[in-house]
Amino acid sequence: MFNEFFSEQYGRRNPNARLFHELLEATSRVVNLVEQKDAQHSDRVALNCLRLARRVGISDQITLAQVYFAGLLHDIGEIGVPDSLLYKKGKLSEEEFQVLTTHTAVGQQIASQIPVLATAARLILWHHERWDGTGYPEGLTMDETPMLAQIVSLCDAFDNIRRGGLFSKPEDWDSELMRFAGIQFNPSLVRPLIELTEEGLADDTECSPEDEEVLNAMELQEDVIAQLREDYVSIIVNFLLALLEAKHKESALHSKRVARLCQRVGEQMKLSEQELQTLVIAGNLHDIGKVGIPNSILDKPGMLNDMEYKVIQKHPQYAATILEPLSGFSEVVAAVLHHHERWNGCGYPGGLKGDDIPLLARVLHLCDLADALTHLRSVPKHFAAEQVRYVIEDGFGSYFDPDISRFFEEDALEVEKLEDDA
Amino acid sequence: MCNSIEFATFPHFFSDTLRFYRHTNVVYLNTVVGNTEQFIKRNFRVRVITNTVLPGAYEYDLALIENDRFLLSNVDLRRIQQLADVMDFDASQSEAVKRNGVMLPSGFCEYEREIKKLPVFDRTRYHRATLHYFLWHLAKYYLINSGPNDRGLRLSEAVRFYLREIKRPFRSNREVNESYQRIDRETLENIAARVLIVDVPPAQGYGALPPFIQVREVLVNEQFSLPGILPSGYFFGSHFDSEDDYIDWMSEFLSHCQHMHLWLLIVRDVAMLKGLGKMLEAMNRRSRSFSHPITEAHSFNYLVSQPA
Repeated sequence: MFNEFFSEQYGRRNPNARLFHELLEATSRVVNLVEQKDAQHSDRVALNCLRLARRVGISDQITLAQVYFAGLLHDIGEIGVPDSLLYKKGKLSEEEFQVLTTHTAVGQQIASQIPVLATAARLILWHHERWDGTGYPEGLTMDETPMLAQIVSLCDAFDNIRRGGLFSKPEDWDSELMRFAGIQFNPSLVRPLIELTEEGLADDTECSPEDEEVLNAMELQEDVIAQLREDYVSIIVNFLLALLEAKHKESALHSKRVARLCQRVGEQMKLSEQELQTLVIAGNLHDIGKVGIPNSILDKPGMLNDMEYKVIQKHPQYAATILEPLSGFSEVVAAVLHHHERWNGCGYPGGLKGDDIPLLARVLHLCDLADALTHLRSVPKHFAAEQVRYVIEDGFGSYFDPDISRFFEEDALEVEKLEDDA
Repeated sequence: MCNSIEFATFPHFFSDTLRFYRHTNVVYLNTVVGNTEQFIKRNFRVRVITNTVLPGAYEYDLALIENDRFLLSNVDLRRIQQLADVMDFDASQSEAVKRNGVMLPSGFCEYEREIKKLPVFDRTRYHRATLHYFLWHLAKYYLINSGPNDRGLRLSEAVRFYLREIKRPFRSNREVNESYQRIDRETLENIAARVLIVDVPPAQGYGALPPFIQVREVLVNEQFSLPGILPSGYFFGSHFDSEDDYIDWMSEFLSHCQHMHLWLLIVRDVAMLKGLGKMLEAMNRRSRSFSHPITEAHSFNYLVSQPA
């Protein structure tokens, strides 16, 4: 779908890009943004999964890499759970618990957007199964749950025991694990994990050369790279959109509409094919930084207070942080980072003015606002499509580059509305 | 030793299909496992009607599908705990007893006998089923696969833990659910349901059950043996001499369910898919299959069918 973009950015300009490592780094940054409670939890679980799997005799590098990714992304589905529930103190009600249990399936759906991580996605689905069959989502008993998923489950629980707060004493960790062997965990995995902790390996959050080798193995795997090269940009866009959809569906739908609007405006401007594709990608991903913004702010009815406004203003920077590791996405990053800059210089985050704002960011800003005026719930007053041109030219004229706003056609908004209704 | 994964069912993979069928009746025919019916009851707004072959699986369904509430009173729970305190043992010190294919600590077997003597055990069939469910969890914990049992919890601790734990899966879906054991064809014909889910057993029948399922059956029937429990002639889970015989039997059996709109067949044996597809075509139903890999070596297949 984004062939021109890929061949320009990764074929001609950057032929030696390490696609898998880029993806890994971007994914890692997403996880850190999503996990506000403890940013290092997933990193620790991922490394412990890798080490435990190796300790119990799994030597295939690709399998080990899948376990690592399952550990890294195991809680990614929590993005779909309301913050009020995730941070709730005290016991969850039955209904709240039911909502929480959906995070495994949501996580699986998000991770499965990256085809090379299909195995990891399945492991994410089962990482809350218990040895005695009382886990979720499927209630699998003992070794009905695949061994790799048992490893993720154990390492996740172990990390939760270790970060148990002031009252979690290191000398109790082993006995706590042993206590739940045969109940929550496969007893044959507990002993090797305790050995790892005794050797100090379970505390080490730095990748050893041996661990690096596993991740490098994925980069050397021809079929993995071939699969990535085939549809790399679409994979990234779909993965990030799935993530945004789980977090805040309205924002994901808005992003898709903005991408289509961008395409229409870009075509009117006679942009090159490569620029057009860059613009569409930026349109799809311009709000991806909202994965780091609490739902309580995103869904707040009415006006935001100053504090909340400052938090939501961080989303372009968050988006840029996620996309920066992708070496071919530098122009997308620039457009996304500056998509709230205004022509008169009163925008954010940089307060850029006039031609200092990248061209694609100016187009993106126009389409973003046009769609927000007609669709978004958070905008106090909705406008009909035919009124938007008037609003853009007269009401917010100083916000936009006049050379670009003349390319804007309200027909495009009508089409978007019809597509939405359909 | 058989591979447990071959007995497992992964209901999550067909849940998207079921989401279209809210507020309806779902018939689930299975032979051995128990997690799928619970998954359906918990996640979908449907009335669940289950049928099993094994007595232990039936007890499970009685406790968790037909019954909605945790029936044991605080007095019952105290009595069960008291008994465990009196009969407390350390698994590593207790002698192992072999019972019909499974090994358990002798201390557990004595405790089980005493539990079954309590008046609450015979109060209603749902009380009995609930206690069987509780004993099954304990038995799984103390199940000895090889070598000495090194389980960390003493009996009194394990009982205290599971008396708290087992309350969780008891819940109502605000429907009147039913459980049957070896449902007859006439009853099947008279059930007004829109969805039929069949956990298709292999044509060779089930040779041996995984230990954690075997122990559930042994707790319900000390003399349990899989071939012995199946009725004479061909039946769900029994051995068929040829694939054609199996398909013919299935076809005859399913002809009593033609009034049910959607059929979802859970097919473990990939080689059977073609034959089952043809069978469905002959029954004037269109079908499609979909597959999900579970591990590198194992994948799971489903056939969805509707009237043509």
